[in-house]
Amino acid sequence: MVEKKRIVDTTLRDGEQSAGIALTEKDKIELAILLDELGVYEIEAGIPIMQTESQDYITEIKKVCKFSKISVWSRMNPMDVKQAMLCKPDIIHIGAPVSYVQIYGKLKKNKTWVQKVLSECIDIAIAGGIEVTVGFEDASRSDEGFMINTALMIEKLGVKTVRVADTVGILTPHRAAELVKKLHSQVELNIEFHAHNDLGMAIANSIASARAGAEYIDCTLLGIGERTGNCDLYKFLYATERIFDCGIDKRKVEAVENVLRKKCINI
Amino acid sequence: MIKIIDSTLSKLDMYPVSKEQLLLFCEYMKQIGIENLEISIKLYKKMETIPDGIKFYLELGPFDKASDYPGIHKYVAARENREPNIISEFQINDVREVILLKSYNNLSNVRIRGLDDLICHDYEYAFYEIKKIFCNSIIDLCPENTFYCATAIAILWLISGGSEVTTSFTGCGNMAATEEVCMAMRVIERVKPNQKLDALIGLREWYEAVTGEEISSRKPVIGSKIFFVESGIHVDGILKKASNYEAYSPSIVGQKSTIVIGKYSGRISIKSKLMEYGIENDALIPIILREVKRVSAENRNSLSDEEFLDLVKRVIADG
Repeated sequence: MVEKKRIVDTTLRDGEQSAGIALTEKDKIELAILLDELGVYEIEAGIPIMQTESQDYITEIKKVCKFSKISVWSRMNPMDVKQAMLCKPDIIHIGAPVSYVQIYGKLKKNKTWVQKVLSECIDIAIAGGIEVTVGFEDASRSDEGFMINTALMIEKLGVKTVRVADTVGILTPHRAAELVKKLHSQVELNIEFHAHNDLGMAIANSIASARAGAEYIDCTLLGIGERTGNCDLYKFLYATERIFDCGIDKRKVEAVENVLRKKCINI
Repeated sequence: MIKIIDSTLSKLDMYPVSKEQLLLFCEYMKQIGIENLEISIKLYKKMETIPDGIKFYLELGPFDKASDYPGIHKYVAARENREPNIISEFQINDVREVILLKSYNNLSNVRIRGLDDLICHDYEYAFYEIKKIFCNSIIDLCPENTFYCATAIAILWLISGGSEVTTSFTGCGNMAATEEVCMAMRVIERVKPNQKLDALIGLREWYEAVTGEEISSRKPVIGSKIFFVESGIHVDGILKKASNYEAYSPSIVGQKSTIVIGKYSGRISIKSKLMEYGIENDALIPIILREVKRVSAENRNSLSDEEFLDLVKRVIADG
């Protein structure tokens, strides 16, 4: 029997973040409608704080999509979360660093600060009646104890889903599965897996994490994304059709990919 | 000690490859630490001489005799073969077929090709079974890429104690990609067998010249734009410390981080780019950034250095 899995499409966020790829607001609305019709569970529509375009397109996406949940990505910053709430998405995804490299090296902060600010951000969004998912950024290089501790904390705060992000794409399928199993053994949270393809293993890592219990898999059309890209939606569906039911007819994905190809010069 | 057998030269029979190009390929492979190459009969004949420092593997057809091809380290036969120096190759496309290999357990050297969907099954158990069946044999795993997981299967095999894998450059011929396996073993397992991986740039150019196929700019390890970074959050991270968003240093593979100016740029990207041109004027940054985002969205593309400089000049002229 095939297991049900849900696809989170991040073409409009992580995909567009890829150097050289730029979509107009109209393009994004058109693609969101197509992704919605495909049966994608959640569409990550963008980052409201980027000031790259007006936030109206996210509101419009929310209006025109009939089936998919619409989420926006937010930095772990109360101001950003408040800004994201103005788009009235179904879900606000808050990215929280969990590796020493990111916490100490990039942010110049510490673990206590991360948990304090993260809980503040979660409280703001939940008080506003919006579902929150939390992304463990750089989970593959994380202090696992801190990650589990933070997972316990967000679960108590009312978060239902945590994203495990292999931010620099260094996991193997074995380690990806181990991470998912470790989290599942400690918390009741749903797990979402977010792969990058730096070592050519994004699809294999996504499959392994899903087999280990991740309920949600992040994908992009044509696998576009930072550097070498993310997990390619079509390829993931093709590779797993005998073991997972993602609620998407893979034969219809190619038409949506073609729309994206026409809109992006650098694909 | 792990062994990677690169089989690119057994996949290029349809292309006109010169003797010089073949020797250059061997040289590049030696530089990246690969000293075992599989070659087709056609290219073996074209090469004429066997270059030093490389062990060659040659696939024999049903009517070929090993003695007709001297200088070869080992031959590969797509069937059971008990002659010395011959690797018996078995195609396994379904993990349930592994059990069928039991009748060949006394072969001294085997290659298992295929296992495309192994990640969708209990791969650890399959590896265990393969190792148990061939406990006295050299086992070469040659995963195929029908389900886009060949590199991962090769890596898992090596990490689980397997000693040999067969791959190809870029993964041509539906294989695991040699460059991905080399880099993954370096990043994950710290395996660095005298590698000078900057030769991958030369290999990329070599492959494009021989096949006439352009390698995707986003191809892992060898893509020409994999270290291009545009989004403000990532540029900020890279400028603080490259390892924030890079799995390994771009210089290892002969590349460098490049800040691209475009729709997702932030203030720090603009400031950094302006400094490249000797312009230090913080008051201009928000205006330039706004213009960059507008032009980039309009063009559906990032800005080239020339376009960016023109834009800056325009903003300055407008006062």
